[in-house]
Order: sequence, then structure tokens, then C-alpha cells
Amino acid sequence: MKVAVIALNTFREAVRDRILYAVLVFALVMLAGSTVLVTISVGGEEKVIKDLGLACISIFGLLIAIFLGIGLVSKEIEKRTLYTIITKPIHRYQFILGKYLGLVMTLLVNVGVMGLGLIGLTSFWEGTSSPRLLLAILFIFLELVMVTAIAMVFSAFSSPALSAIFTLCLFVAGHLSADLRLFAAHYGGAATKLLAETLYILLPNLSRLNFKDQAVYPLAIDGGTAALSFVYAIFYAAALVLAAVAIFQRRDFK
Amino acid sequence: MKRRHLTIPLLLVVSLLGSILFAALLDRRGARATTTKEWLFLPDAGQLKPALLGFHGVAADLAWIQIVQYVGTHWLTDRKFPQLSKALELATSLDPHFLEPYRLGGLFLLYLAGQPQAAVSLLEKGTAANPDRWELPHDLGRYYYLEARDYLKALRWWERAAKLPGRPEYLPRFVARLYARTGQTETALELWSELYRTAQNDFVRSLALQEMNRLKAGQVQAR
Repeated sequence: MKVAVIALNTFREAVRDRILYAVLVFALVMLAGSTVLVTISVGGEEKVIKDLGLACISIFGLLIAIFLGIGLVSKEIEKRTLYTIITKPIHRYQFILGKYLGLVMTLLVNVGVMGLGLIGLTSFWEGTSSPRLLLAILFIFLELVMVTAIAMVFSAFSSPALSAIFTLCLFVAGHLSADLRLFAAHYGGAATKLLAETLYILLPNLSRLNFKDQAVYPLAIDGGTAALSFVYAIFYAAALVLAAVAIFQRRDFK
Repeated sequence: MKRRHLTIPLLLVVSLLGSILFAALLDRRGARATTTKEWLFLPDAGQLKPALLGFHGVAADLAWIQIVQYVGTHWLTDRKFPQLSKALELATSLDPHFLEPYRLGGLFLLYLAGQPQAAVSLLEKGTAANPDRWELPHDLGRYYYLEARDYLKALRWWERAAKLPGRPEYLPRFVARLYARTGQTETALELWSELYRTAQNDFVRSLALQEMNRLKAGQVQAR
């Protein structure tokens, strides 16, 4: 119950933020702008709209996830609201969990609005919209759920600026982890291979959540892979939230 | 007091005019630079793809749009396309399922750049990456039939395309005609008229129209 109250408050606070609206409006304008780009292409118009639309959702969603995630604890300290909260009969894990769920709800609404914009645009252009697009949008949302959790871990012990840099670095590393493993397998020695394997396991593997190609082309979708990717994202995000709780519980706010 | 009020607006006007003037000067220099320094370096797709962090589809779209602009610009100026083949290689490696760079790129290479071998290699690469799409073996068959006049190879590619889902209804007829070795002009005319009917841009439409007229003139002469 307490978690739900904190989550709802976090959601209300986030949706009141004007910067969030600015990012959302900019994303929708960019989505609509993809139709202008289509006019200078020859063929493949539907593909260009889908590719650009999904990239917009991904990039602007990432901006929102980082922007919201990094301010999670630091904002509360800055406003001194945290000191009031921790004196109340609320466990610290409840606070972190509530905050995280509130951010996830905000992300869901934002990705939902951008996703509806893209589905509307493709329906207008093609006369129909494929459910594959929904699958790609769902996995973008899951990727952002993971990124928010990463930002939250850093936010639990670091400044907002550093948290943003660390989160961005992990986002990039998360997309390159599979390549790192491949590179080590081809060119590295035993120690490099071990290091690459360890990093591959520890780093978030965000390329597993990329279903953009399947949204654009009629490629076969392996249900088992999609289900496992879904479960992987949930488990990884849960591990990060627990790590954030562990760090937050050890922090001294006196 | 009044002077102080006027200083800021005056400086603002001077700054604005200055920025417009310098932007115009830069534009002039930029226009000169782009004509000489066009695509000096095209990266290797194998190295570029991981750095795109999953946005390779958008990168291929942007590369394709650049290729279209490149072809258009050079067609209107020097009619030379030295980097077309490499640029198409990049776009198709970034997104191997994107059919337009193979299909239209093949036409550009064949009819504008005069590089039939590069066109065939591009279409064969596309066929290998998209074994379920009829379009690419169909285009290879069209090349062997209309340009190389290698009817055996045309038959091989069209037979392959005829077995794939979504293929046009005329393909089995072409295969049958090739087996019978008859009706070659009719087949060529049908191919070009189909290309004219399904074309979504002026380049392909005018090319098809030109070839149809050439074939019809040949038919009249033969009579």
C-alpha cells in the first residue's frame, strides 16, 4: 500500500514536469517530420517511417528514462523532502520501490503516447498497422525499464551529472556486450576471454531487446526468444532495483 | 538614459545582421566544399554496425536517401558514379533486408553507371540475404534476359522466383516461354510494361517507356 502511494506521488510529480512535456512534444514533432524525409527517398517509404519512428521512441524514451532516473534520490535530498520521509514509518526499500514503479508508470505513459503516434502515422500511410510494431514498442519500453533501473542505482550514491554519464556509458556498453564477447573469442587470449565473458554476463544485454527489424520486415519471430528476452529484462531490472535498495539502506542521511 | 536604452537593441540588430552575413559567407564556402569533398570516406559496414547501437535500420535509410541524392545530382551534372557501388554495398550491409537499394540500386548500376557486374553482384547478395523474396531473383532473371541475353541463366532465376510466395502471375508464363524458346519480344515488352505499371518513381517509369518504345520500333521494322 505504501509502495503504491509513493509510486502514484512520483508519477504525479513526474507528469507535472514541463521538461517531460517538451521532450514528448519534440518526439511527436520528429515522428511527424519523418513523413517529410520520406518525400526525398525513392521507395521503402513505410520502412523509413517505421525505422525513424521506432528510433524516435527509443532515443526520446532514453532521454526521459535518464532524466527521471538520475533525479530519484538527489532531488529528494535537494528539496529536503527525503529527511521528512525517512522519519516516517516507511522502510527504505518501500521508498525506492515506490519511486521506481512511479517512474516506470511515467515511462509507460510516455512510450504509450509516442507509440500511439507512430501507429497512427503508419495506419495513415499504409492503411493498416502491424501488431509487430506493438511488439517492438513493448521491447523498447522494457529496455527503458532497465535503463531507468540503471540510472536509479547510480542515483542512490552519485550526483545527477555523474549518474547521467554512467547510465549513458552502460547503455552503450549494453548494446556492445555481445560484440565484445565475439571480439574476445576471435582475438583475445584466455584472460581476455574470461574478462569478456564476465562482462558479457554482468553488463545489460540490450541488443536482446531489439525487435525493430521484425517490426519493419515480415521476418519470423521466435516466440521462445521473445518470451525469454521479456523475462530477462524483468529479472535484470529487479536485480538493479535490489542493488539500489541495498545501497540506499546503507546511506547515512544524518 | 535614452542612449543606454538604445544600446542593447542596436547591438542586437548588429549581431543579427552579422550572423546573417557570416552564415551567407559560410554557405558559399560550404557549397564549394561539398562538390569536391563528396563521400571521401565510406566506412566499412562491419565496423560501423556495432557502433550504431541497434539503429542500423535508420542508418541504412539515411544512406539510401543519400544515394538517391547522389545519383540525382550526378545524373544532372557529370553522369559519373564512381562511389555508387560502394555506397550501395554499405546500405545493403547495414540492413540486408531493405529491398530498394538492391532493386533500384541494381537499375542505377546497370542503366546509369554502366556496371552490369556490380549490379549482378548486388542482386545476388540480396538474393542470398532474402531467400524468401521473389523480387531479387526476378530482377536477376530480367537482367539475364534483357541485357546479357543469357536465356539459360534467366530461366534459372525466374524458375526460382516463380516458386516463391507473392510472385507476379506472369512469371510461370515466362518460364514456359523460355522452355519453348519463343515469344522473346513479347516477353521483353511484358517485362518492361510491368515495370512501368509498378514503378513508383519517374526514373524507372521513363526507363521502362524508353525500352518499350525501342522494342516496338524493332517489331515494326521486322515486319
